[in-house]
Amino acid sequence: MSENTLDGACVEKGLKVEDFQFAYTSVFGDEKFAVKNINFQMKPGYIYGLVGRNGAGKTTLIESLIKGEYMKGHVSLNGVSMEDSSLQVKENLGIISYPAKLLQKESLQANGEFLGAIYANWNQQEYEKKLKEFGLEKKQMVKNLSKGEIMKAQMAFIWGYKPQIIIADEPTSGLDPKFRKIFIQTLQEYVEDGEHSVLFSTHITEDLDQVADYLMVLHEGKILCNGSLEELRDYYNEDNFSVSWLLRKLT
Amino acid sequence: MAREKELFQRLGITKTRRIAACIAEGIYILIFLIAAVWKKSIQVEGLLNTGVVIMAISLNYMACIKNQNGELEFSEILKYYPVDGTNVYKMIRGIIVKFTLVHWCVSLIMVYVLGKTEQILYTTVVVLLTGFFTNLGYWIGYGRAVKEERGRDASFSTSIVVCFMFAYPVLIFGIAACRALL
Repeated sequence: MSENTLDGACVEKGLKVEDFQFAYTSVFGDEKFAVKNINFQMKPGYIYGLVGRNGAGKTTLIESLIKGEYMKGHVSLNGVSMEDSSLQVKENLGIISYPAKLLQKESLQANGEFLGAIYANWNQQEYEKKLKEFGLEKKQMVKNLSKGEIMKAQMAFIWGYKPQIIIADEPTSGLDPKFRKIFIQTLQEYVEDGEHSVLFSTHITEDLDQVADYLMVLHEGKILCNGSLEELRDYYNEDNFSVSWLLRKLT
Repeated sequence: MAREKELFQRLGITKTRRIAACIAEGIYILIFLIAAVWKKSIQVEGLLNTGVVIMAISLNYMACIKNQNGELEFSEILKYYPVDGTNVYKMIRGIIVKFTLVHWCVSLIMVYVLGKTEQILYTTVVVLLTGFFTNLGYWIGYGRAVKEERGRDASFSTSIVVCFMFAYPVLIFGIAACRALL
């Protein structure tokens, strides 16, 4: 999917990550690569699953991508590069992860007023409405929330500015089964308009079986497999095909 | 920098608050001067005052740089947002350092210019007021930014310092006042 800019150039919509690398540096200056040679694209209207064993580099990839802190590579959103205009790119990224990227000693309402208001199209009413829908009080302090409540709060926060890309790292962890279902449905609704996409990293592979359109398998910092679930299902031609089965097979 | 300045303002570090902090500092200096002129001497407590200020600077640096409890620091959180967090953090730290250093220099100068004697009452009064105005200055001047910069460890350490600055002098002051009155 692409759109024309004013000068007629064609710009690919969505997130593009090319040759992405992130390494931890020891006190002696040695680099240990956490993720290397990462290439993928996220087109609007789809949910992308990210799976891998513990220590594969999923959280590192997500965190370094969102913060724009990486050693090498190129990240762009709708043709705008992170290296040149990180603030413009971050304007359209949202993260759901633990710990929450919210002010711990402030209320949910205050977080909207301080941090939410950084975003150009922030809507405090929408945010507070979503908080209420998720059973959260706007006066609650973030530090007093449970893990599940923090995930709900971040989802509500995202609703305040509706970024083009949501990157969710274990978002259903800590959620009760009832709300997990609501959460998954909310993500599906989010991408239905064809303008948004979600990167969903999780160990609960059943969730991805339900909603993911595309899947990436990360192992030891590298992508082993990247494609649509449908294509992967046809390729492996396995009766018991599932994300969990694929992960066991590849890693 | 426009977005950072906007965030700075929103966090409460407005021009008004900074002026208020300076006024608080001015009042402290005035009381210090009145005490010095009236009794024609200043306590060696200046060293104690200096120690407290150095501790305050250290605590703020500790809170700003390191959080032992896994809580995300304010400046770390901002990396996830479309704002240059480093600049905001530097602005906050710059003001805290300047304010504290000015306070320290003024105190030192006044101690050495006006001389020293052993007068417990004025030690107590000045230390009490130092603590009060320093903290008042911080809270008025830096609002929520400072509150967020302080990690749990730093808050605990700060509490100890505040207790020391207030409880001990209040105790001594109370004893001295009772002796004076009785």
